[in-house]
Amino acid sequence: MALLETRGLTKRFAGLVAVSDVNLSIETGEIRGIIGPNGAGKTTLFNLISGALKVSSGSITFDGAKVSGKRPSHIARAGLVRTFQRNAMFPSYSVLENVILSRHTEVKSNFFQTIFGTGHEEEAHRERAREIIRFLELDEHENDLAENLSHGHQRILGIANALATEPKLIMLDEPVAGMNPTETRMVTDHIRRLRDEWNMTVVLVEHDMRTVMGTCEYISVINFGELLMEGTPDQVANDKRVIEAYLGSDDYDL
Amino acid sequence: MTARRWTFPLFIVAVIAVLAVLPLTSRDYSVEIYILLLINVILVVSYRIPATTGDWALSHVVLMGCGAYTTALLSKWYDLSIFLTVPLSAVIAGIVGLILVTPLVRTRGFGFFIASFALGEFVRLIWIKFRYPFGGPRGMIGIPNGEIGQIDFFEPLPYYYFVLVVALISLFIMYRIDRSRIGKTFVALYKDEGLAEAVGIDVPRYRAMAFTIGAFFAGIAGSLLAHRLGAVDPKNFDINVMVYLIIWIVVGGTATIWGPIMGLVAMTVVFEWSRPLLEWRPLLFGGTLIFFLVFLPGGLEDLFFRIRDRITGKRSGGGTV
Amino acid sequence: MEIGLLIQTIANSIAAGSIYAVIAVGLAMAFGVMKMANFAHGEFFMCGAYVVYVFYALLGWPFPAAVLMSIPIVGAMGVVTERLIFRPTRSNVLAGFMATAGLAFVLQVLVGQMWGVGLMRSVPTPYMGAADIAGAKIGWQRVLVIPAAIVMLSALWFFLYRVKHGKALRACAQDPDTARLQGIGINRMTMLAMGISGASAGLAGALLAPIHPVTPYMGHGVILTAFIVVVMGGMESIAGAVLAAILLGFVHTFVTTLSDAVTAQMVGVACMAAVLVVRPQGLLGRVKA
Repeated sequence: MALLETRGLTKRFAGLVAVSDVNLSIETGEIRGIIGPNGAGKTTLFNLISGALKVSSGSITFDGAKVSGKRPSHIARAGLVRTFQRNAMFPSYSVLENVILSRHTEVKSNFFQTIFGTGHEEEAHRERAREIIRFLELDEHENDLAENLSHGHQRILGIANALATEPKLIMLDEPVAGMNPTETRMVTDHIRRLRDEWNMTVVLVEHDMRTVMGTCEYISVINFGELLMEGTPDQVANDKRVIEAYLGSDDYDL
Repeated sequence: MTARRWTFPLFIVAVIAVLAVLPLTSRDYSVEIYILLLINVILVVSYRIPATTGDWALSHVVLMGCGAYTTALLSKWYDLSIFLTVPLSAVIAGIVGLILVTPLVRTRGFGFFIASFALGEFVRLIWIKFRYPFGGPRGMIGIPNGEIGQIDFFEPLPYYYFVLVVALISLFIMYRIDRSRIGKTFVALYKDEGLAEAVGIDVPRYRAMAFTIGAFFAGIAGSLLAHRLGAVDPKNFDINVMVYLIIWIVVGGTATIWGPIMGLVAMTVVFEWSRPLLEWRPLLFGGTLIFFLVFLPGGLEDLFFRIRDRITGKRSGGGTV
Repeated sequence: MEIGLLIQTIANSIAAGSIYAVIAVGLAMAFGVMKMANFAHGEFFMCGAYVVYVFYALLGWPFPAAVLMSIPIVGAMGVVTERLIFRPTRSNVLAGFMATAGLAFVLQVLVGQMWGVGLMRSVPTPYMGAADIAGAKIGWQRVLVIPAAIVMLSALWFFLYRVKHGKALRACAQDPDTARLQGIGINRMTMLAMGISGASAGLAGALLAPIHPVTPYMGHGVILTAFIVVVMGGMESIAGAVLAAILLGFVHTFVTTLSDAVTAQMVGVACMAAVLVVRPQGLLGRVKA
C-alpha cells in the first residue's frame, strides 16, 4: 500500500471547483513532483492534504490511516509535515530555538515534568535539533535570530522546522521560490540527501518546471484542478497536453 | 553572561528582603495597600499567560471572582481553613475557565474579545440572579479573614506575610511555565499559528491550557481578596475593573513576566497619588491607556529595555538560549 | 399570556429590536471597514442621549430638531476617534479596541463633570399618550422608535447600494487591497465608516432619551447587547446585524416580561454562545477560507 493516497479528492469554494477528483498514490522513498501552471489548484491540493483546508469530498489516507478531516497538528503527528510558501518561522527565537520548538510532536514529558523537570529530555532534543541544523548546513547561524537570516536561509529554516517533527513524508511548497541559482542548487541537493541519507519521502509542489525536472523521478501534472497526467520527467516534458497547459497560461518557461 | 547569572538571583533576594522588611516600618494603612498590591501582582501576571497566546480575554476578573465566591461559600458555610479555601478556589476558577474557554477557542481576535466579555457577564449575572447561595446584587458579607493556629489574619501584618508567601510561590510557578517549553509554545503559536499547527502543535488545546492556567492563578488572587475584604460583590468583578487590569498590563507590557508587574506598581503609585482628583481619576486612567497604546505600545518594560541597552551599549532584542 | 399582554410584548420587542439594530449596524459597519471594534460605542449612544437632554430639555428646541442634532455631533466624535485612536493603532488589531475602552472612561468623566454625576437627567416625554391596539397600550414614544429606525436603516441601505461613496465603502469592507488598487482612499473610507457608526449610535441614544434614564453610565448596559448582536450576525454583516437585533429584541423582551431583566441578559448571552458553537461565522457571516 502506498504511503500517501488520495481518492476522488475534491474541493469546492462557493460554486467554484478548485480541485476535482484527484487520485494520487505516493510510495515510500519517492521524490514526487506536483506541477501545474499558476492557478491550477496546486496550493489548494497542498492545503487539503496537510489539513489546512477541509475536504469537500473524497479521502486522504496516510500510512494506512485516514487523515482527511483531521487538524493539521494531528496530521503532523501522524508523520506528514508541510512547509510554507511564505517565510514561516517563529520570529524573535534563534534558529536552534525554532527547531527545538518544532520538536513538539516528539516531547514525552508531562506538564509538571516540563515545568519543574531536570531538563534531561531537553538536552536530547537540543542534540537532535543541532543534527538537523548541521544536515541543512545552517550551523553557522545556529544562534542567530530567525528574522535576521537571509531570505534563502529563512526558507531552509522552514525545512528544518518541518524535519524537527521527525516526519515520514515531507511536503515542500515551492521551496526555491525567490532563490538565486546557488541557493536553489543547495536546496535541491538537500532534498535528494533527505531521501538518500534519511530515507524520507518527499513531495515537491513547484511552479518552476526546471527545478522539478532536475530533482524528481516521477511527476504529477495538475491543470484546472484535475490530474492531467503522470510520468517521468521526460514523458512530462514531451507531453502535448502539458505543453499546451503551460502555453495557455502566462508562464511559459519550459 | 556570567555577570547576569549572578545579578539576577541577587536582585530577587534583594526584592524579597525588601518585601519582608517593608511592612515592619509602615503604618497599617500602607500594609493594607501592600496586601492588595501583592494580590494584584498574582492577578496581572496570571492575565499575561493567555495574553501571550494572543487571547486578551475580558473575562479574567470574573474568573478571579469565581475564586472569591468559592472562598466565600467554603469559609462561610463550611468553615474551611484558609489552607484549603485558597487551593480549592484556584481549582474551581480553573474548572470554570476550562468550561468558558471550550467555546471561546473557536473564536480569535475580536470574536474572542467580545465572546469572552459576554461569557464573563453570564457568570456574573448568575451571582446577581441567585440570591441563594450567592447573595444577589449586594453580594456576600461576613467572610472569615482566616487564621493559622493562634494567628488571626484580621491583623494586616500576619496576613501580609501569608499573601507574600502565596504570591512568591505563584510567581515562581508562573515564571517556570513562562521559561519552559510550554510557555515558549504559547508565544510561538501566537507568532505563527499556521506554522505551529504544521509542526504538530494543537493550537486550540494550547490556547485552552493557557486560559485555564491563567484562571487557576486568578482564582488564588480572588480567594486572597475575599479573605481580606470579608465580602464579595458582583460589582468588584465587572467590566470597569477589567479595564483597570488591562491598563496595568498595557502600561507595563507583556514581553516578559516583569512587564505587568512594572505596570501594576506604576499605576498603583499613580492611583494613590491621584486621590485628590476624585471623580476625574477615571479620565486620567483612560487617557493613560490611550497614550500608551498610541505612543508606547511596548509599555514601560520596552522603554526600560531600550534605556538599559542604550546605557550598556548592547544590541537590542537579545534572545539567546 | 393574555392577548393584550402578548400584543404589547410583541410591539415592545419590535421597538427594542429596532433600537438594537440602529446601534449594532454602526458597530458592524465600522468593523467591516476597519476590522476594529469601538468599545466606546455605548458611550456614543450615551452622548446622543445627552445631546437631546441639552438641546431639548435645557435649551427648549423642538424634539425632532434635537434628535437630528445628535447625528452630526456624535458622528463628528466618531470621525475624531478614527483620526486620533484607530488610525495610529491600525497595525495592532487589539490596541485600538483597548484604547477605546480608555475613551469610554474619558467620555463618562467629561459628561459627568459637565452635567453632573449621580442624579439621572430626566428628559420630558415629547409625545404623551399611548396607542391602543386591541386593548394593549403602547406609549407613542416607544412606537415612534420603529419608523425612525426603518427610515435610518433605509437611508443607510440607499447610501451603501446606490451612492458612489457608499459603494466604495462596501468594496472596502469586502476587499481592502482591491479597493485600494481601484483608487479608493482607505483613510477616507475608515473616517466615513466611523462617522456613520458614531451617528447611528448617537441617533439611537437620542431616540431613547425620553424613555431611558439618562446617566453618564448608560452606555454600559448597551455595549454588551450591541456586541452580542454583532457576533451573532456575523461581525461585519449589516443584514446579519439587523436580523440578530430583531431576534434578540424578541428574546430580551419576552424573557423580561415572563421572568426578569437579569435572566433576559443571560438568555441573550446563551443565544450568542449557541450561535458560536453551531455557526462560528455568525448567522449571515461569510466563511473565511
